Amino acid sequence: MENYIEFKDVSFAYIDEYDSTTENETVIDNLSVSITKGDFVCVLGHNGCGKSTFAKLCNAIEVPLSGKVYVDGIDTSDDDRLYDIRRKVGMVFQNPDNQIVATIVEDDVAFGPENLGVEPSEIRVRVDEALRQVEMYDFRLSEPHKLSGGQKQRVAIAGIIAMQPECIILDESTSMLDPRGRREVIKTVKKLNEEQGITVIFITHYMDEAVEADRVIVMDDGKIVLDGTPRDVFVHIDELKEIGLDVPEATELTAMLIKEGVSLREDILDVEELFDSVVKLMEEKS
Amino acid sequence: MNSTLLETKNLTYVYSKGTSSQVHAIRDICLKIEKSELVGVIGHTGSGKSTLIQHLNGLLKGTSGTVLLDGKDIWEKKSDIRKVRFRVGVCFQYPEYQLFEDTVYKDIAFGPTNMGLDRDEIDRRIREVIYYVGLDESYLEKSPFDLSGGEKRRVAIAGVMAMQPEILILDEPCAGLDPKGRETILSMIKDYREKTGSTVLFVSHSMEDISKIATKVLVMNESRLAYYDTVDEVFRHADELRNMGLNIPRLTKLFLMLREKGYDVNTNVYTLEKAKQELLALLSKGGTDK
Repeated sequence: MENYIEFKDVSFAYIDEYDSTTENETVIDNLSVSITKGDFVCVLGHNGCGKSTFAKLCNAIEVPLSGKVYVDGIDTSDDDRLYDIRRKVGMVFQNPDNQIVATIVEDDVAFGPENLGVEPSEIRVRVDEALRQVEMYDFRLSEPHKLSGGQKQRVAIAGIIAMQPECIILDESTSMLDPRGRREVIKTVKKLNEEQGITVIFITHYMDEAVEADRVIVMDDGKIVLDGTPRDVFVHIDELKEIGLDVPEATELTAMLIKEGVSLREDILDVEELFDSVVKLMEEKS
Repeated sequence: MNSTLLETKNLTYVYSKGTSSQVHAIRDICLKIEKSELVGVIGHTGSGKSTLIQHLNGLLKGTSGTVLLDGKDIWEKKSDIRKVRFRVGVCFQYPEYQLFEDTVYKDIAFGPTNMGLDRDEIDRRIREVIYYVGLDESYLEKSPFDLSGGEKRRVAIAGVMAMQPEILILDEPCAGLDPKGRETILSMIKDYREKTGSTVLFVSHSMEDISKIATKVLVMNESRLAYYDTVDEVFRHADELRNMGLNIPRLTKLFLMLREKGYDVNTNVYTLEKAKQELLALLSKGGTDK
């Protein structure tokens, strides 16, 4: 499988420009990891674990203090290639109100390609196409402030798609949304991943969103502590709790039942799976 | 019998009344909240939750209908509305953006100072509420801007608690926090209510959070009050809740599915421990009473 983003021994700290006496706290600590092209990767970790910095290192908003980050083979510390990297890797942030710049939805989506110097006729095509993909075409002439949170985030995603990126990073983009808005955003991102092969890095606090991913990376203190499929990762209940994270309720309940001697497989992820297993046990008994 | 502390009678509010964009934000809300309840408020975006809350301490005045606090119309004497706001404290979404002083101490002192309390009393209250929110006195001289997001939020909530409102209303106190931060805020709300006996309302999008700590659930749907009842009663209406675009707690769903399948289980299950007991009981009975 082709590596799309590659971290090689990356360390990073935020340096206080005004105070050289304070020690700089390491945010990313000698991290090596690669993200496969076309994967849907979820990154979990408590606040301050380095997830957002990880995201910023992926599209050269930050560059490593030591080590290297490569995006599709390009070194992110190469200033001359900055635009190439930003074009390849788009980012959607947490607060929908902080990333919309225009007063009409379609103008906002056109903002990215305009800055890339795309031909106007081509921009028209891309904007329409992007808005259709996030199912916001009917709102193309609306004012963004009249949209719901989920709709605004989808407009933000359309703005990224219009730049035709190969990878989209969503940094807690669902955390300010209500359940309906969250579902809209996930559905949109999953579709882009499945139908267009766009690599997705999805940073979240919601475990039920993480179970949808191909791969889950758990960060703590600037390091990766767990990495694998959702089933592989969520069986580590105690480790996850220790670093302030949750596991899906069904997984935790299953572990509690196993402890009581019930024979269940331990990698159950949701209540539907647990329901099936319990029904099976009951049928075997009768 | 508990006594009614806060009551709304046919409360209705219309935004942009008389224009083409006139919208009913809340319609005909009749509600009686008893003393010392811990109420979870839920409803999808635009259902009228925030509008309702803003009526309860007179930030908005109903287009028609009344709000009664201890049986008295809060708008009876317009000049008294300030007193109502001291009795019903509202903490908005993302309250950490409202911190402005250079120390935590001064920030928490802002509300009580405006109430005209004397210095000693303010000092006493600050040293009390800082523990309510799970912090300690070492935080008081820090700048609020040096704290983490979760800590900032707790300081902001402490600022409202320091006014010792009889009713504390928190609008989405857990929004945007990580699992540990959410857990901290929830247990803080529960402890605060147990220690002070205050009435607390909190808005949440998480049925799990509400079912864990609330004594009553208030469900808003399309600007109307859909339910106001105990947790068990409200979650009995699983299908109706789903039609409103709301979920029931995931654990409860498991037991509803088992019940539907014909197994004899309780469905009022909201905690992992209770779920474990129920399932063990079911499994030990085997398939006998199917």
